[in-house]
Amino acid sequence: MSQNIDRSESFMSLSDGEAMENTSLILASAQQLERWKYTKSSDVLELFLDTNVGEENTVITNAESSSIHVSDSGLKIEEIGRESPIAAFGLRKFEKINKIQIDGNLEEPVTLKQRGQPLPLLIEINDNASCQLHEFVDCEADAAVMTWIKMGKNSSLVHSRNSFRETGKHWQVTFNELESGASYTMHNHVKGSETKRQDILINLTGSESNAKVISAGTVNKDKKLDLQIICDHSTPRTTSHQRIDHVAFENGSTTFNGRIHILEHASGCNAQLKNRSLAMGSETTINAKPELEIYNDDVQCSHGSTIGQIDETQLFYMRSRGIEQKEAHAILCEGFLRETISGPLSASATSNLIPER
Amino acid sequence: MSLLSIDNLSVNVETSGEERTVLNGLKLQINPGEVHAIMGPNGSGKSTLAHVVARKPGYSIQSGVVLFKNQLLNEMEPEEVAQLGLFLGFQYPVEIPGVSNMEFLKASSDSVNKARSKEPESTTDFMKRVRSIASSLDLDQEFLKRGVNEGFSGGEKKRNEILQMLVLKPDLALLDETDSGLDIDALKTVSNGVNAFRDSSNGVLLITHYQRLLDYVVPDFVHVLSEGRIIQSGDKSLALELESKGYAWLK
Ligand SMILES: Nc1ncnc2c1ncn2[C@@H]1O[C@H](COP(=O)(O)OP(=O)(O)OP(=O)(O)O)[C@@H](O)[C@H]1O
Ligand SMILES: [Mg+2]
Repeated sequence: MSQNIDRSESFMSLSDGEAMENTSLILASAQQLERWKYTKSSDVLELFLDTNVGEENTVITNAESSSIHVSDSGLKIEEIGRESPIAAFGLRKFEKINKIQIDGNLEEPVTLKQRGQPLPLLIEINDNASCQLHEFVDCEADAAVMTWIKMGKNSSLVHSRNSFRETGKHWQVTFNELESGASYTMHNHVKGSETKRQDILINLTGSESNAKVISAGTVNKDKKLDLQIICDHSTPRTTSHQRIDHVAFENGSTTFNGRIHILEHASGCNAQLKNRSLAMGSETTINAKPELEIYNDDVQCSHGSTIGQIDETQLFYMRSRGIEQKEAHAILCEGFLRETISGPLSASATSNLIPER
Repeated sequence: MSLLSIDNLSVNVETSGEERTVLNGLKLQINPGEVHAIMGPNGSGKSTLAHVVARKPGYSIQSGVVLFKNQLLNEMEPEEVAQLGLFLGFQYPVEIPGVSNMEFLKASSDSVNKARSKEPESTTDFMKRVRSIASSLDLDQEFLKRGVNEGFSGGEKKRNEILQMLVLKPDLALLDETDSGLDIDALKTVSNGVNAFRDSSNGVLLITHYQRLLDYVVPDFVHVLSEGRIIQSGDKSLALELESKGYAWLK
């Protein structure tokens, strides 16, 4: 692996093109030279280059609670560190970020609406704090949405995210760092767009931390969805659970790449990944690749990925009961996504993801 | 007016590039108020007949007409035939995980009503009606919440078919081996369901291998299907004769 990549020190003085090249290289090396097979990194990195960022593009409600602190922090690239090249790239472009800090146990969910090109957002959850985050990503045009979540010891976060825009190119990157005993759950509901790439990068840095990602996605005609999840078990007794379902309609394309890394000293880890994709029309493209990289013998892991087509016997059974083909498709789609449309935003997810009957 | 009228029906299926004739000049007529039974050796074309009438894709009609309530079915979509009032009880009911039985029944019933320009039944009335039919079939209410046929035993699946029939109230029910795999008590329960369904305006076609069903649901006609055509028709006594002699004597 190449180590002589400029990581941050002189990052600010590079030209856009050089910085982009640099970031692509760091990403490639961070991902074990696994080139971004499905969405070219340059495609998404370009989203950072000519966008008009606006602080007002992030709307946070329920901010009046005394446990929430909202600011635009003067975070430095050096603070973001070597592990988050994309964050460094975004920060270089935007020079500042929004920050939410949670230092108590919030009863009411924090609601976050992202529009236009929002600033990168840092969410810090202090030790022992807990909250629910309802995130609505609603960017009409091309946008890169970056969220960096740092979770303190024994903190907990239930993060529900709905992202249903079908126009424009979108890149949504979430970095999560979990200290010991922290618990993160994500309910992700997403519709493909011209290009929609979601990266969820989870680093279980503290022992006994755990992360769960449940994601339901649908892709309509000529749209694309690319979901990349990397889960790093860097410490002992950490657990991760990924449950990902995708449905591609006619001419739609979906990609799922789920990686689990278990490092050498990380004994007693448990990592589960289950992914299912369903083709519900002709000319669909489905890529699915679960990957395990394990350097420790004392682990429990399972991963499975299945790709299926609409079941003609099920379809005929429904039609023989008088149900129109279009409606039968909608019912089968809803049945397929039943396990992964989940959490507090599931009602609107159902109405947005399932085709009209 | 007859409910179902089939004349000179020949049907091919294609397997690995080879065309095969499965129904060969079949003729059958069912009038309102009648119960017919079709018996016949394995592979003789009984299920094929039911599938062709229900318009399952994959069968190509070479000749003949299929009329249901005076409408030509030959080119219809499966849902259109169902909306017109035909019901097929499957020999092998299909599992649909993730879709609850109740939700499926409601979608079916609403579709049929809509096609007939009728208002959908209110959810509460519908659920009440379905629950009472389920208990008349000794089906626990829990089956209504489960995925369609998901993990049901063979006999439970068959009872679930009868449940659907009673909910949808078709004009003609084709029941393909609904009695196979039922224990003695379940056979009685299912038979009671079919008898409760029968009236002077509707019809039933029972496909079966066993004479015993016909003790409970007494048919007006019994037909023997062999090699894609009906080779013998008679009354209930034909079934008894088949039971003692087998099919060979008919050839
Ligand atoms: N879709 C199909 N593709 C290939 N062959 C078929 C198809 N459908 C029916 N057949 C063949 O047609 C013949 C009749 O089948 P069918 O299922 O109608 O028999 P059956 O009388 O219902 O038999 P059983 O009593 O075993 O249920 C069989 O030889 C079967 O293999
Ligand atoms: Mg059969």
